[in-house]
Amino acid sequence: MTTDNEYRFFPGCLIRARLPHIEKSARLVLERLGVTLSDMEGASCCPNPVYFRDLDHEAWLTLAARNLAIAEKPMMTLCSGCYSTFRDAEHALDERPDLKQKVGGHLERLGLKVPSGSRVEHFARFLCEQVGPAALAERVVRPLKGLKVVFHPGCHLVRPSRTHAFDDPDNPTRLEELVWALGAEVLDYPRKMLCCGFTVMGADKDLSLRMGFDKLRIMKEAGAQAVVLICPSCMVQLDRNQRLIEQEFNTELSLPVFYLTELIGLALGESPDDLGLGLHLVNVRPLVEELLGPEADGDSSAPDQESDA
Amino acid sequence: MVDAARHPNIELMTFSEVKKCEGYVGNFRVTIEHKPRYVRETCNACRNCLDVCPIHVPSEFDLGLSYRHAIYQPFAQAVPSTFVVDPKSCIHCYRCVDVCDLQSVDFSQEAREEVVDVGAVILSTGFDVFDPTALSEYGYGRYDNVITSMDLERLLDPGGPTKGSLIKPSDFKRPDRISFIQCAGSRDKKYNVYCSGYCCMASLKTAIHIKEKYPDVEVAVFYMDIRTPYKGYEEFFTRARKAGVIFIQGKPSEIAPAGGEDHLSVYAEDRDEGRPVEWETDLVVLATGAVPSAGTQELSSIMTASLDETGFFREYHPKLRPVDAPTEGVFFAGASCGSKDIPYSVAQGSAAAARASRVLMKESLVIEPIVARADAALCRNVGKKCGICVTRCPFGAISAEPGEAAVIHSAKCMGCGTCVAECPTGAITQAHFHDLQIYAQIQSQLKRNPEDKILAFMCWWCSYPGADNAGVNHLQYPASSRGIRVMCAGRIKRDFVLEAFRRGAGMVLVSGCHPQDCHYLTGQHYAEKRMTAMPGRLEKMGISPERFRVEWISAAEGEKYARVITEMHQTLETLGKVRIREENEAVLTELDKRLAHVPDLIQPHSD
Amino acid sequence: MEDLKEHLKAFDLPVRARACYQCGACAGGCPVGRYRWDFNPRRFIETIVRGRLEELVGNPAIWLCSHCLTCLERCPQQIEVSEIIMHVKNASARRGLAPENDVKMADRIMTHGWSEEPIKRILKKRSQLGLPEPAPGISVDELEALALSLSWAAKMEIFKPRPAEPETDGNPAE
Repeated sequence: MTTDNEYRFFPGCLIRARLPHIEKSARLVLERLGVTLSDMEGASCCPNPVYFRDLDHEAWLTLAARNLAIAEKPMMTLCSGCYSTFRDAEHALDERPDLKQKVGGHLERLGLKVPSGSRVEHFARFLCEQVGPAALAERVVRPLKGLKVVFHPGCHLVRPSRTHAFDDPDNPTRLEELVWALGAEVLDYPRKMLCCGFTVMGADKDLSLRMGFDKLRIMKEAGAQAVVLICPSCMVQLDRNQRLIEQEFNTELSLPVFYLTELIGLALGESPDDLGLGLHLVNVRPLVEELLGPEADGDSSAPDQESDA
Repeated sequence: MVDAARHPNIELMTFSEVKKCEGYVGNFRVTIEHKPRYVRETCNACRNCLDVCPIHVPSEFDLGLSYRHAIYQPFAQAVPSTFVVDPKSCIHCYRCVDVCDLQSVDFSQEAREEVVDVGAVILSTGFDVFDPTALSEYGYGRYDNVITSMDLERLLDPGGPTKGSLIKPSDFKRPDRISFIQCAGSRDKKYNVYCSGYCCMASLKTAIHIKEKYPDVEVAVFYMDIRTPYKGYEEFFTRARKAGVIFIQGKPSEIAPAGGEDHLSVYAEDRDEGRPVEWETDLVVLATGAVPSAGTQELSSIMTASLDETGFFREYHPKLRPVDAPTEGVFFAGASCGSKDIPYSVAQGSAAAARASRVLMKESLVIEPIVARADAALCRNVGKKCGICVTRCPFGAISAEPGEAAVIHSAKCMGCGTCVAECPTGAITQAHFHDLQIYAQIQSQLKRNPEDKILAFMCWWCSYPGADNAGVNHLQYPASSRGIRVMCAGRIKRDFVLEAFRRGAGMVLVSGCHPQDCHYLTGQHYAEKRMTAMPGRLEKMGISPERFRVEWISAAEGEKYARVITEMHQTLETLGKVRIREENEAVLTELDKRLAHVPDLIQPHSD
Repeated sequence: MEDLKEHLKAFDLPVRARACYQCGACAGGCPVGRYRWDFNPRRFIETIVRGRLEELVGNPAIWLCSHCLTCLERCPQQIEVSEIIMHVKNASARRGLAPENDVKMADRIMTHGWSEEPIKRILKKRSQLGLPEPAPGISVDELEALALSLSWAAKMEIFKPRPAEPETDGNPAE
């Protein structure tokens, strides 16, 4: 663990607006592991590395640079999209003095300077590199024995591998070690780097659902009892949209989807209620009850019914 | 191999390693370490020991597809046939000692050094096969049924682990469908940038073999390009297509198990169809390329033979001297200097032998007298660690032991003069191109009306014949250039340029070969580096930087030489004699001080 | 057409696309291309290399890219295919061809600072879970200053899909 454990909490649009349970489990777990999260006032959307950047690279870079500039402390983000924006933005500012100059001009009007130096951390990467599976295992009070999961790394934490330099871009396993540390079994499954399809929902809904279906189907065929992931976009696609996918392809999946922090929370002894597990669309209650045995808490783990694509 | 072992003029030293190589062409002294086999030459390969050795380890020759014992023969046709004990896996039970009728097993053997004197050295250290484990998208090492073409060779070999029967590693059953993936890790910026040249033909050969032996097996080849140049190869490609091998143009993006069964899916774009495919197959063969063989780095230091960017040995010139090392007396053959196939390698073997015998059949070798010499009294390496000259010489001709003066071996010196120009104390001189000789030429060329003149330094191999080429072709250009020829642009000291300006030169041109074409490999490169700061320096002193130019001109570029001189002449006229004279006068005091060590060598002009 | 070339040149296009030797590794692994055959990253790069930029910019299929970066990782020439497609999308947006959803979201971000706001039900869940209220975001003043500096209003004019030209019956008197 680093001594420097203070981070600015960067929520990101999706978690802030739709997924409070992810924010809750993340805050719980990170604070348990000694991280101090302070709120970041005046933040904006990172901005979105796909929808916004696809329209105007300069505006994207400017807003990203502004967020980096006002953070003052290193940022901790829960979203791979935000992480990707901030890392790519830093890289662009470093490599392109002409872009840096342009952005500097815009920021000047706000009384800000272009930031420099690495100032953003993704919570999962932080857990891998700064905490480590061994330290995590030591704190486990409730090993998730018997739980067979698959890990969905998502596209934007590990890639682009040349700039992020975190793990093998085609078969990353470092994040899986964190789940092993919780006592669960992580199953290997084919094509784990396949994109979940969230980002194409607007352009082609059928395509998006098809991509989501491919992922869930392959995971189920591998024998997974649940999916673990680290990005809210993937969460929406694979949890919130799972019902839609089931309907579209006339199949039953019923595959619970967990955010990594939720599993860690459970293993560290937090209650399903406190973690907000009831807010999942795909019912996690049976699985959690099985895991936790008779200890399983309360009844507010009834799932919500809406899905927003 | 047996013929080679028996030949009266060939001494085969197996299980031996070159540890040191000193000397020069015709007079190499090589230190060799012979490793202990722990088995004497009296061994007759009766194999009794194999029956009693309790140890099993993966066989290197069979790429881990089968086992060998701690006492073993690498393969059945090994020469010599003497067995060998692997000390890492042997547990010293000595059962082999007991069972050997000829008492050939001898654990008392030790490594032994031998020094041999040879006239020439040929490095034919071959290549290693690229390990595709790094290509995690292809799953080599994760999925049993993804193998390399070398693995497949072992499987198809009648003397191999399956006696030539084609099986899948997962269940030892015959595959119904095989897919070759060409260029696995080759032509790839992330791994090997180069094309290894043999993999297309090797895969075609294996594909045809499989179709002939097992006509019902489906064989597909995924490729970017099929490279089959030269004699008979294109026809072989046609034969493969006629044999029913399926060719799909499209580099696969990944390989994954297909739906939990024992099949694999290859994800690629079928470019002919113009759409992605998910090609189901049973066995995937990765056609991997060549990488420099293990030990190349060490051998490179031992032999002072440089390596190129890909890690293979660098030949003197890829077209004109393809089997020569830059160091005289050292030669290459085969894949040691770059991946190549069998006919190419065999031809190079003969070539290297012929080149080496040129050295051996002579009583003495005549070398160019244009060699460099270091003056121990001036050499900086004696008092303080230097060794710059050592690093500048691409021929390994200079050695500078700590605390001792640099020594240049005239037999190795090729006469470029780069070390002369790079030596910080001027301790090195070059015979027939002594500084004083060059200064005399500079002064002589600029004796009369120097402001009207363009003094051009040119190299023997490229820019001077380039200038000559202009003349031969009757190309017109102003008669204001005066040439000074050196062997290589690397010889041109900064002081030469300054001396030219001191003597009043209107313009100065430094020229030589194009990068990569330098006859001395790196002389041009150092010349270019040396002259980078010159324009800025001249400007600071008060000389218009446009009075100095650096151009790389080849022997065929008479047109370029004429054009450069014409342009420089125009600049000369634009600046005008008045300005040039003013600049020269203004800078004289400083240059006189800087060049105090340069004497007046010619009679001043009386006019 | 000129601003398109300039815009792409600023990002080293088409030069850095020229290393492409059309191997198809990008198309082979593309999760979108698997189902939408009109989306083929290899073909897109070819179009750029051949100099037919305007054609690619006008191709609505480019907006299908999920930005999964698989093509970028698999390319043996290390061509950043996804990034190139992103810059072409920028050019396409300048032609008014961006999807409505993307434009709307970008507008929301530039106007309100976030792509969406939590609805009441979510805010209630937040307090139930013991989470603090979301921290105040970027101020309206700052957003306006940014919009001004970035000429956002003018850009939005271009990004919004233009209404179709009213049809005439060819009568010159109209």
